Amino acid sequence: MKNRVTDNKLKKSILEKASETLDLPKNLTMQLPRLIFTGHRELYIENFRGIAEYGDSCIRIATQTKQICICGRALAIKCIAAEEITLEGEIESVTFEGGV
Amino acid sequence: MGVRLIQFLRGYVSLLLSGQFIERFFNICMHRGIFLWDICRRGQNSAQVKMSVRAFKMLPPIARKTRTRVKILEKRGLPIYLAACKRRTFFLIGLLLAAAFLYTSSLFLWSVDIVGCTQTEPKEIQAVLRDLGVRTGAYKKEIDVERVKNRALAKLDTLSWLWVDIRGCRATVRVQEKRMPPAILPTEACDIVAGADGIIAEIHATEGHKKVAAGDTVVRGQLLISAVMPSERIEARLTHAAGKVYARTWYEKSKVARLTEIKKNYTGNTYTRRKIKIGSFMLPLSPWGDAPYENFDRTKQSHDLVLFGIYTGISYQTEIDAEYTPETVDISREAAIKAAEADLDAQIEAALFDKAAERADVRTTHIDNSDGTITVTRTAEFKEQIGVEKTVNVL
Repeated sequence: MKNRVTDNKLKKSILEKASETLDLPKNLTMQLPRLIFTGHRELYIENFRGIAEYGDSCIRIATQTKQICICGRALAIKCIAAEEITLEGEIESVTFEGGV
Repeated sequence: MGVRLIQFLRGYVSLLLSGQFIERFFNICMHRGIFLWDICRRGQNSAQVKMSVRAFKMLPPIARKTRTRVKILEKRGLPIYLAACKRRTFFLIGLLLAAAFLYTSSLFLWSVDIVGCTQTEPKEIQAVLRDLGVRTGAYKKEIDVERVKNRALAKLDTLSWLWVDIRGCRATVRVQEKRMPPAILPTEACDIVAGADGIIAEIHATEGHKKVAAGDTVVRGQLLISAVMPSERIEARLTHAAGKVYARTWYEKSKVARLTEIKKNYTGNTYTRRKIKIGSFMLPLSPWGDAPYENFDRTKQSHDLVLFGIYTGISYQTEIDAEYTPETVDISREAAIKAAEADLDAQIEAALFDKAAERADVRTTHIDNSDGTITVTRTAEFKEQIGVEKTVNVL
């Protein structure tokens, strides 16, 4: 079990290195989420897996690696499609929690 | 804006979701390719969301799976509006008819304005344009502006330039008038002769030789101003005599006036006939017999149906016969004479040689006849221009 974890870490490391060497975007090669802010009013997230929690003051978005916790006031989902989500409201903090 | 327009065109619903697993509901929608927008919380276990009408039909299994209750708050968009309209057949028919009417109306001219004419009568230009097809109610596509311009200029001598500008349903005809050369005086030899009998009051000869003087009595046809101009140094020459000759003239008319007249006492009974005339075909709307009265006055009225200035050939006509009972009433001597004078004045006016003549004096004499009537004689004196041109035949 311990060996497998080590292999995974090694594998990711290789992917990461390959992306950096070939100058490829990591969000595509490593399935990492891509976040685009418009000030503190709007947040656009690509490559997410789903919504873990949805509330007025906190929204948790599940991604391939970690959970993104968006805290703020009057938060709402502007639109949601298969691979992208746009949030709006008074965003106060964004934290990455848990993960592999 | 573009996205909103597409959403409106495709139609969308606003839903209120309530349940414990709303996040799961969103995730399943997301994985099944359902696009959601304007999501906001409406309490601990409920949220409001918008989605397309097509996606809404895929919701029941998702709602069952996540135990979410779905309530439609609002339906918006073009398909929803059209579906509502389908039930309003007459509204749709009206809408189509209105659109058809607007489109048809836009194919015709609604007004023709003429701009720029100061000396030429606009009616004259209108008449020429009407002959060439530019008139209220004309079909716009049949108007060839170049052809109208060329033909109208050829027909109207007083214009040097003309342009027809058709914008929408209005045609503006701009014209520029010619600066005309001065009138050339006629040169053929002619005399001025008397057109009526009278005593000369004034004679003003601008060309020719005066043959009469003020105070002379003249008869009709008598030479007043001669075309022959005598000269002491050279031989006589022929001219186009011109001038005004004013003479005192008298006119006398008589009439027998009665001291009674027929008065019509209307009973208030009327007999009305109504009909619709379509071309030469008559469609009676009421019995078309003779009036059941012995004495009546008939009034006819016709209302023509005109569309875009064109008579459609359809008219609504009415004939009203108003019954009266004739009554012979006595009138005063003064009233009878006054009525006769008015009648005689009208007869004299009609007999005048110069219709613009001034009346200098008027007298009335009346003789009582043995049968109770009065013979009224009206004598009027006028100051008339009696000179008329008469061509001289030169051998």
